Amino acid sequence: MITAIVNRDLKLALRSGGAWLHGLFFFAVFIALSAIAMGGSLNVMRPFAPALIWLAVIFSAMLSFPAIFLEDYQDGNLAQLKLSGVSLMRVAIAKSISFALLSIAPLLLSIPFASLVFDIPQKTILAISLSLIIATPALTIYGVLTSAILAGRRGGFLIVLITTPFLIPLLIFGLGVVTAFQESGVGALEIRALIGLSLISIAVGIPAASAALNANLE
Amino acid sequence: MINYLANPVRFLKFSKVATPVFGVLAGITMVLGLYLALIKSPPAIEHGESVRMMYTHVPAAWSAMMAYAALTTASVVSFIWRHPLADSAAKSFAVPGTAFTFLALVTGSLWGKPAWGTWWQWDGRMTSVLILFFIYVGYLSLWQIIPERKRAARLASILAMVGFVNIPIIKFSVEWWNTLHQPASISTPGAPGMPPEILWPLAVMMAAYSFLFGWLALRGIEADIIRNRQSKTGSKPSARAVIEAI
Amino acid sequence: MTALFPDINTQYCINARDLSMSRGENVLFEGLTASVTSGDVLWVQGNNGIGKTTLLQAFAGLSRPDFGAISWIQEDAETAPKNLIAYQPHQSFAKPTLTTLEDLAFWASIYGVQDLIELTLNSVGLAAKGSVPTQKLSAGQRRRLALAKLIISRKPIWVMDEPSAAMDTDGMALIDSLIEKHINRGGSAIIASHDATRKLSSNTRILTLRASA
Repeated sequence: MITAIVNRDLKLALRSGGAWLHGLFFFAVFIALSAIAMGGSLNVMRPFAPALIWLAVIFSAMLSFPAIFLEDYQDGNLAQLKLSGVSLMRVAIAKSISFALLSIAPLLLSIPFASLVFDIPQKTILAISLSLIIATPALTIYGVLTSAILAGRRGGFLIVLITTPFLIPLLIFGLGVVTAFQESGVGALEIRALIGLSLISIAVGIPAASAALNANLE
Repeated sequence: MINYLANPVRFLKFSKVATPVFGVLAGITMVLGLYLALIKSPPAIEHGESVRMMYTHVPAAWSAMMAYAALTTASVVSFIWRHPLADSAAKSFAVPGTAFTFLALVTGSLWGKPAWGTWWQWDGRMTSVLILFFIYVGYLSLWQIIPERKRAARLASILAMVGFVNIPIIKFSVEWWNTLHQPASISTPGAPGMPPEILWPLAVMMAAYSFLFGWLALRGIEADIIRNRQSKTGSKPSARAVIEAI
Repeated sequence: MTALFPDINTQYCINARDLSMSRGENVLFEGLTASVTSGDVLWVQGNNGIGKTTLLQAFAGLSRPDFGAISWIQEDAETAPKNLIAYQPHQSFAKPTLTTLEDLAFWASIYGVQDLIELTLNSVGLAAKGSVPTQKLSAGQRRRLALAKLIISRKPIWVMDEPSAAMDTDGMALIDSLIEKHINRGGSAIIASHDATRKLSSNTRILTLRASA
């Protein structure tokens, strides 16, 4: 059932006229604006590149959060899924997979290109990619949770406000991983901490998202 | 006790007595505490007169956390037993909680100016309080945008509970981040070696803030119960159902 | 080959006791009691905005009453709405960019009856529209697709919100014949409608929500 939902989401996204790529364009725009704001000097920007890339990913993801359940809630598909007997926990898991594939994966794939525009070494790019890959479950699930809470309601700014406290530890340890990985490799303590954050998000976020969906459908 | 008070009518009877008691106790302890803190207690050796800011700052930060703990407790009750009074309580804990958090930020900043030489430092404690403020504002905004009360209560309780799990994680990560980037900032007078002339005013101010929180929360719950009752009794059903066979 | 309308061999009913529901601050109705069991048809009638859809959502377990209770009973035990209810909402929940076949196939896979897709499409007269995106269907054809999803769910109680809206005469006849088939195999239906009520089973009742003075 999870695969059926994910397959349908992918199909719908591919037929959406490229709407699923908007997050990627935002990512590029954010990087370009940051470079312009910082004066464009590579020497100035290089130390900040990991932070800028992380922020670009977080903001791009945040802008995609509201859409996770918006359509399915408004057109009645979520109500039908609930009545069909598919557990809402599975719906939350399926939506997390779809979101990670459609909204986060394109950003992760584009990170190597950021090494060109910031002129940062390959090892740093590897560290940034690693940190973001480890953080993807948490980043995704907190988005799924807030989208499940807000469901069909407008509240683009509110979703940013609500998710921010959850994403701050991610940002802190994510950037910690970038530094630590370059110094001490995959054994770094920060990597374990970030994995821990992602595991906690799964344990807490999926049941909470399912409860929120249920609250919106009763 | 909780079971007994779970009935709104009985609660209103209880709060009719309890609310003024809390109000009076808050007033007395506040006056006494402010006298002890601002006039009676000596300036600290290390901090000078600015230490007096501590007597308003520390209890505010402490009550802000206490309010969130109370909010989470009410949310758990609301989520499990779907009790309307727990909904009112959670909402009414959040409002003074937000105010105390804001007060902690303002007094922290005012204290920071003489202590650090700047209005703001990204130190672990201040940053944590700022994030707590975001959590509170997000929670209250959620109540605002959902018109159906029961649904709003349920969704808000979920957010509050997940937020509660997240608070120690935030605290841990911000402190770790802080030691990474910042040299140790000012030292706050710690509890163990605290002389009685500082400890007493602080303890009285803590009590004052707790009573103030209790008073504000009780008033909030009362107002919420009454508002709810008015909206329900104000309207008659617009239709009646008739069933007939054909 | 699985049958399109297999017999429903379970004993079930849905009981609404003393329901009170509201929309925002407005109380819609109070003290509503109704019961539906195998072989029943319950028409829900009333003017626009009087609360028909809200009542239907309550029967489907998608809206909670302010007071009173609804219980879904199967084999003398309380059960969840998902085990009894198929709900056809007023709006179409077909995904606009999916073809009719793909849209139905999704729900068929959720219900685990992929082998019934063709047969179901035939039964609602959409066999020729399988490869058409649902956004290109007419309003009436989308209603037919919704009927197909009711059938494919194989649930005992059909809760239908104005199934005949935008339907032509053929479509109206189709609805009646599908409901009759469903009743004959032991199903039941709750139908909100502005149409003239028809006696679709030996136990047909009309619940009218009448504006109080």
